[in-house]
Amino acid sequence: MSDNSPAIFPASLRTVGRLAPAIAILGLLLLGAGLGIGGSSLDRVIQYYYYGWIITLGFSLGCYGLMLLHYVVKGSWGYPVIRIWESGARMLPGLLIAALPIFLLREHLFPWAQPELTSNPENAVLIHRLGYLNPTWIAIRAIIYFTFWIGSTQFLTGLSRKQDETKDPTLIQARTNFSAVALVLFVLTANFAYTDWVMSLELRWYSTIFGVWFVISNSMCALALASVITSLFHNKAPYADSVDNAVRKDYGNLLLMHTMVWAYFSFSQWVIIWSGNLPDEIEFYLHRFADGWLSVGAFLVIFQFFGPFLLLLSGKTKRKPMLLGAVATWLILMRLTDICWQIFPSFKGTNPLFLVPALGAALVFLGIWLTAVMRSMSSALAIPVWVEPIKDEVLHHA
Amino acid sequence: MNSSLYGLAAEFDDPDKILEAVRKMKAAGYRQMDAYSPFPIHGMTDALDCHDPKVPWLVFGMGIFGTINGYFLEYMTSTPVLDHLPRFVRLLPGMNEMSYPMNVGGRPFHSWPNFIPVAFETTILFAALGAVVGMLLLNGLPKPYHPIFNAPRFELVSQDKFVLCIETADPKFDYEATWQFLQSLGPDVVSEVAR
Repeated sequence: MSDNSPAIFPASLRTVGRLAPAIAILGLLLLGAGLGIGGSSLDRVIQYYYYGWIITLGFSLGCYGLMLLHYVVKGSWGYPVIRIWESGARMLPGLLIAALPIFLLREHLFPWAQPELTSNPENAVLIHRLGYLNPTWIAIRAIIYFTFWIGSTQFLTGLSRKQDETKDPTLIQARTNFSAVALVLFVLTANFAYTDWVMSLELRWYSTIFGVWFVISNSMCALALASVITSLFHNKAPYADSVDNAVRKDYGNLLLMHTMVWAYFSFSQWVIIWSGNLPDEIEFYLHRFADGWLSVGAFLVIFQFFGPFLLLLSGKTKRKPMLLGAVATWLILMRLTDICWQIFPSFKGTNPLFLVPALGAALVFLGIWLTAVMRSMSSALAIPVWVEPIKDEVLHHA
Repeated sequence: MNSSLYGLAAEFDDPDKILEAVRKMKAAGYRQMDAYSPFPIHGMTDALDCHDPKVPWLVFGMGIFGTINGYFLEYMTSTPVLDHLPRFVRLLPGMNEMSYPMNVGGRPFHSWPNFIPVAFETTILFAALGAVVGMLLLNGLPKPYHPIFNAPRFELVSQDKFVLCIETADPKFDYEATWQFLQSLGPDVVSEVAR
């Protein structure tokens, strides 16, 4: 890796770049086949688009958050995949542009944008919220969040790439100092963003854990993506040298931690609302326990939590690249299913069959996103030259 | 072989040296050894290869036991299940005082969602107890007597010396050869450890 030319983009990652459009095409087929389920009215189309956007935003923000985390703690698990996360975060400008149709067609999604709801005095809670949840404020806040995310990404990834050329070690500390503050601001802004963009799908419901629930979900997506890519190419450059069993065990343990935090957030939100049993709070779960959605929820409890949790407890899963890759792929699928369960029951007339077109839409978005990520990655070294040689047991004998 | 001999102790003055020595001893085929140090040496656990696969399973089993235990306790105390059990069960000491079903906001007695946090806590409690007690049982602690204290100057191990002890129980142990091998690893001194 002494040659500093990005032209030596590894064949393994070029394969990912070639597979990505295939994912989009697969998604398109799934979406086409699934359109029959809910029809192709503008309502439905914009709902699928919105869902795909939320999923992809999740991957980008997950990459962004893990990038910040790695810059702060500098764990050896981050070095092999930091460029994947950097490039994932660099997709945020594209996601801002892709958000425009959602904003323009907002009355097909959000109760606060629907005049027949906001003009009905029965919806006192919604009317009270209009001071905060109105198009102008939503737009201003969205621009603030994105400006911060995009600006800090450009600054940090710029420093990271600059260090490839100048090999100036002081840039490491510069990134750490900046990221420590950015990490705090990221969780805060993401919390507000998901309140604006997803929690407001319900008429009256609120939950204070919802934003951080999405933060952990996003970071699971980004981590699972990194685990899939490094597991798939465990014997190819550049991961054959950079990801050993100790690092793979770190990915397994981090995924284990994410499934536990996901379960903890999901369960605590539900048990608190269940115990309170108040009309304003239960709306969310009433929608998700009706029309067959309850079976999806039960499926997620078993296959997003118990299955991966028990598999990832075992050291074997974390040692065998193909096994870890399979679990990580499964976790991504469960993320898509779970976020579908978070979003679609809020729309009228939906049922679990909507998973088909929704997953299709998500795969279209993700395919395009991954293509762009690999393109962005190919303009820099797949593994930065500033990787510190922490190659002894110091960090991973736990 | 001298049955009053516990092993041979090599004293080092540097943690890297003893780590290297352990690796060389392992590579040469020695198995029964232990390293003594004033502080934990990174990598020593892996070098000595002293993992016991029984511990995780013990922790797991105790965790499951804790889940069942906690849930069972809640079920017995919070639901009127006792009324449905045979009379002799209710007559067992403490049984009647155990059952205390209460109507909380009209929720069912068997409010399983609310039982989960307690069952979770007992899972953690029993798993942690399993880890501590299992560790003590499996590594033979407490151990009031250990022959390694017969090694000369062994008290320095709590200050600035590092001791590697090859035990006579090792199948490859041979007084002369092992002594020579230990000498070749660059220790300050090699000495006998009486049993």
